[in-house]
Amino acid sequence: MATPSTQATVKLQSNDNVVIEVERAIAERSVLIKNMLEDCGEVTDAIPISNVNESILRKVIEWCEHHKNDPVAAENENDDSRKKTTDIDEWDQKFMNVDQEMLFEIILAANFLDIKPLLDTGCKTVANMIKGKSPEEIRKLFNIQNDFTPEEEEQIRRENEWAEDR
Amino acid sequence: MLLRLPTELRLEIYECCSAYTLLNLSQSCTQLRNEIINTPSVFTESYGYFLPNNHWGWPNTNSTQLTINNIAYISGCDLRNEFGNDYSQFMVESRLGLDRILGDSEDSDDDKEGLTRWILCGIKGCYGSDVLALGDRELGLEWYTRCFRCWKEDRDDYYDDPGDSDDSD
Repeated sequence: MATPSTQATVKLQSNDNVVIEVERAIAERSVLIKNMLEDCGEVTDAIPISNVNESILRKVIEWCEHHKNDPVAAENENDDSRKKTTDIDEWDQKFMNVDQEMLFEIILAANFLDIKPLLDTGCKTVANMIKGKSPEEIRKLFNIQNDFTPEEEEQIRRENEWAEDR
Repeated sequence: MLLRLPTELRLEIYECCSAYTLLNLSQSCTQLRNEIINTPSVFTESYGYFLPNNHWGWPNTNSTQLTINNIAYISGCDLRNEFGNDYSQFMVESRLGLDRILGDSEDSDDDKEGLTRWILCGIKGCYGSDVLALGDRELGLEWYTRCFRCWKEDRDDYYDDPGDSDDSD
């Protein structure tokens, strides 16, 4: 492993070639970047973030800035405790109040950059969007085609008869 | 966009969904249905999933099934959504605060006889946030009076102070 670096900022390069300079502590909310910096030591060149465009990268950095002082979850922390609640704090709710395209891009970027709390927030936001919606409303929300055959629909209907209706 | 996500990310989203939400998702298209139904751990570990095998009179289900009969807990807004089909919005809303019991056999008309499915938890007054599914008196199903959250709170209170009832004056 390289000697630990003390550099205060790092440069990140989006896939549309925009370079953004951020505090190292903020960039290190991403486990991918943190590991890269630990392995490489001092990095003067911009780090290419090949799967993320500028607008999404800026959005992710905004999230990391706001959450830079949050405790970092232990690697083996129980996944269940993270996901069993769909409560999202107020700031995150506002942050995630974006169009669907951007919301899913943030989820993809959080996954690529390995920022688990952001990924969880994105997934919870989608789960909350679905909550309380009928299958038809879900189709409308995500522009999904109903591709069930009449036989499959009948089977679903039969499976979902109430016990006492039979 | 949801269908364009990699499967592993959709699975992450499913893990944040309740059993009732997963049921509705699984009825939206074949791709989501196959993903959800073919990954039983996703729904068997979801909030509100219920495996009623031990109850006499209940249809045989196994842990690879996700049907309406496997839904135990349901959120207040899901409840409105579901009961919107059977009751007017006004009726549901007025009943939420007053009766604790929706679709109770004593209050319902003939074709709803015995259709008590979900009640609102009345123990700690958390009306509408969590509700509990239950079956039918005639089917011999247990009558629950508390939602999962209140049950858990009571249990935690008990373990925090187990000697409370024995030593009090």
